Amino acid sequence: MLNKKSYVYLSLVFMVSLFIAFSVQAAEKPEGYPSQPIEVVVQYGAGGGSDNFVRNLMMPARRILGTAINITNMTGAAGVKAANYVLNQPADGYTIYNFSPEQLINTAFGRQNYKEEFAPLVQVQQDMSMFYVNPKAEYQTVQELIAYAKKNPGKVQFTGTTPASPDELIIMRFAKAAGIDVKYIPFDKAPKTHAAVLGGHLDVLHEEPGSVMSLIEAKKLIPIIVFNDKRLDKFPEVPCSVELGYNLTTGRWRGLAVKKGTPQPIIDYIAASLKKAYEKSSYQNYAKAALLDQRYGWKDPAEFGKFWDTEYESVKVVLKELGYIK
Amino acid sequence: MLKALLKSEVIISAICAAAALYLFFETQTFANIDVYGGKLGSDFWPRLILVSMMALSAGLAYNTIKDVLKGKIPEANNIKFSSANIRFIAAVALIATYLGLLPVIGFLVLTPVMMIAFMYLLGERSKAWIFSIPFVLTLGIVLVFTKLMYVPLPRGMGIFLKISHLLY
Amino acid sequence: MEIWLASLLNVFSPVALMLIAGGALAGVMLGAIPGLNSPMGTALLIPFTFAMEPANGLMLLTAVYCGGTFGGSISAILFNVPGAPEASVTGFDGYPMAKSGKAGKALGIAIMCSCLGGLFSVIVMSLISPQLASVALSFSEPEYFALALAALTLIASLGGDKMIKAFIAGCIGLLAATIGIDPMTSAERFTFDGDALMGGINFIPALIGAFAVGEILMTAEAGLKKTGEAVTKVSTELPKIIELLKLKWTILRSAVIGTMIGILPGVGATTAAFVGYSEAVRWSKHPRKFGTGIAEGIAAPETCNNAAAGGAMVPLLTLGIPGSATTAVIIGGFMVHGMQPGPMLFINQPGLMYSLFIAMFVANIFMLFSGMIVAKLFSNFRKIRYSILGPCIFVFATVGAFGISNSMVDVWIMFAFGLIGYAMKKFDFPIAPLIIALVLGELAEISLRRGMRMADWDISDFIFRPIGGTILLLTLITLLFTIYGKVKRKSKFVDSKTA
Repeated sequence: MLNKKSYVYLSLVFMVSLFIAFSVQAAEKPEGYPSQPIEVVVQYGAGGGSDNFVRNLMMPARRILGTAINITNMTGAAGVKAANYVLNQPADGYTIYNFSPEQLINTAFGRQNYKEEFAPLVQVQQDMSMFYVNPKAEYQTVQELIAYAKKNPGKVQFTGTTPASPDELIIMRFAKAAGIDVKYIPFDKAPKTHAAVLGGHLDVLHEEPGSVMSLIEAKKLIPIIVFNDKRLDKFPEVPCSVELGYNLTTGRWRGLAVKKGTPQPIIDYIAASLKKAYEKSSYQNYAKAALLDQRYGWKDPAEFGKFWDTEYESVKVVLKELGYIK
Repeated sequence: MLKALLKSEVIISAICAAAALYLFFETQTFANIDVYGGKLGSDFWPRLILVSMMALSAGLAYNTIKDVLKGKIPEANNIKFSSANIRFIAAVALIATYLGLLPVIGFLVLTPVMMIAFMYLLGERSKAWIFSIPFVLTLGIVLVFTKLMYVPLPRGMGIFLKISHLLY
Repeated sequence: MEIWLASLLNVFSPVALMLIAGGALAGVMLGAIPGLNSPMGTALLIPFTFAMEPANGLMLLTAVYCGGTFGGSISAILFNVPGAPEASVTGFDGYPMAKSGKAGKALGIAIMCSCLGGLFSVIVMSLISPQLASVALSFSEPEYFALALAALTLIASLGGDKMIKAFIAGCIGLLAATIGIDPMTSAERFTFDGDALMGGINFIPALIGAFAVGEILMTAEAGLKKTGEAVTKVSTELPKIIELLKLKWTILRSAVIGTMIGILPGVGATTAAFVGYSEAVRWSKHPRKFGTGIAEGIAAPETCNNAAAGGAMVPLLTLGIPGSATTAVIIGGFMVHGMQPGPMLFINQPGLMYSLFIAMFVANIFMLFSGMIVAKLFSNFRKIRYSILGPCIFVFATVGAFGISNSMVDVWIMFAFGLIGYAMKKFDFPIAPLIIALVLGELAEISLRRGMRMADWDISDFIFRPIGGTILLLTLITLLFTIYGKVKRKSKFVDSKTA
């Protein structure tokens, strides 16, 4: 039913809106990218925090980038296996690596070298570290815990995932700041740490709140401190580290990287596209459900790269203090 | 006595014991991380096993020698260096080559070639089978694994990467 | 009661039933193909459940999970290449039985026992879930150590007359389990300064290598003279009532063990299958027949792993703690609907929980039928002569090893264990002890070292515990008894010879 005039008009509107759409895009689309499926390599098993992060971000990203995005889980050796796989692929932006704090720790151990291997893409999440105790424990607040630990040096047992991990680092930084002597008992998978504290076999659990929310609500785990500069809206009664005088606000962060040598335009384009995926409601809903919206986590490539270097320095210091590296 | 020593069991015990001894020295290179004043470090369990392994090897050798001296084991159990092992060596070489070339040539192109060679090696002579099954199976696996389940089967490099990209 | 009725109606809606049936079938298929597995399948399905009713989506995922736990045994029985880790033990007796021409019977026992084990655990779970969860939480490191040790000592019984050889094979397995980054101190062990072994040795490539690849090499050498042994009967036949009655104690024991181990956080259906097999050997009147293709050897692990699959749902639903890889993925299925499994879900949405229980019950029955269909499909392969089948099995072994973590390292490990398996067969070493030790080695070592660190290296704290101590004591008694029995039998044998 359209006449010629309205045709011209419509196509004009269409072209203008196309133009607007492109100019809004921060980074220009590199020629010919993407022309094949993108693979995202996750060094942790399906169902974990990192896997959920990647899958939920890539669900909207598929449509935005206009290509298939396949997620590959390559577990083992704290990410070294997955990193080697990524490094064996061409640096063309079709292979993305889930970059986690473990890569910095591996570099300190000499197992990887993040500076020479990877170029930062984006950081997406800044999760929070919290400590929890069993409701039957003798201490129900962080002050009581510290007083108890001072009376019984070396007796309080903390638990988290794997040795020389971000979990252990934050626990030991806290112990040092509070002037207490504690023991760290690692498990290879997070659920086992929950069970150990729930069963009363260990004393203090380190975990991100998202994965134990139901246990907190059921009062089976009592949160005693959050490592942040202010209290969380979700847990107004839980003190934050800064108000207690401990300047510790680190928590697990989740981000992505590509192989070093990937052209900068491609990096910028992926980063801009992921930002749009990040803002989509499907991702935001997941982030809300997993309590990942409590701290703003987005960092663009340059910012993320700078962050790696500062984190790496502080990781090295703590590992040295603990005696893991010389 | 010399005959007894040649028994395969004795030779194997000797190999096991020697390997265990070597690995025992290897445990000394483990980084001695001692963060929590711990006993039972990284080397505790491997050493426990290696020592038991040496003891067990000695036990096996002792039992075998004792039995042989008593004449309880028939002579036929000696190690034989037969010449009919060419097929075995060929199979091992074929597998090793296949695995070695997989990252270079990719699953799609290399697998049918390997299967045809393997079938021939196992004595299959029916051309109809040899030239149908490998292609059907490879194609089927590639489609199910990569299209349905997103398993990144090796794609190969260069020209082979391009061929693989036609399908996955 | 009203909730139960409402949930019942929920499950018996056409859409839900179709999803459960489809999920069970897809699960069995995924399990049966080496290299594909149910955690992978559920992870891929989660985005689709986003668009479904929460209950329907979760029913679909649990149905895939139930089917996947069984599916692996099809390829384990027919080709000795377990399609899923849970089926690792099934091949010990399933494959020899299939080789002796009774593949159909072996598959029938596996399907029937899987179904019975699954149903048993679902019933137990829906009745006393919260109580079971608190029992599970009372287990700590000493109990895990005792459990692992109890299963490991059964190596003594598995070697037949060659007890020392069985122990040596066990030692090799234990040693292989220590390779990689030490889970307690993060030191690298036996990695020889390379990256390849840093991730350790996954037991699936090792098992596929030692059994399937080892056999291919043996056949290549022997030159296929005996390939006339075509499998005569591959059509699946469910066991008759009388055969099931013969297995009743094995099935009941395994169902209880499987459910109990399933609810322990972090020990999954695979370990359950190994423990179930060990216990079947321990209580059997003819332990020496295990590994030659007897019904008990299939019934025990199959009942156990499916019972454990149900058991693993207990800590998931009551505490939000996944007991296995697939249940960890299923948490993601809850989260796309903004729910988190755990105590609050039980209080807030009991209807959903009961629907899931009923769905699992139904899924286990559907699994029986889909199992028959898929088994029938796969058993057609068995009719092909070995000169064609051998290379096909090898390709499946390769992708099966590759699919574990999508890495070539695992494929090379498979090849290395193929050579080891070949050598062990050649020199008459039993292979099963090596695999058992490889699977349970880390649990034994780390629970001992972690438990001792927790007890401040005070051995008495570690040993004198009600549950753990009892298991340790019983283990010690049976071990001494086995060794004593063997030595006695041997001396009797010598006496009769010299006389």
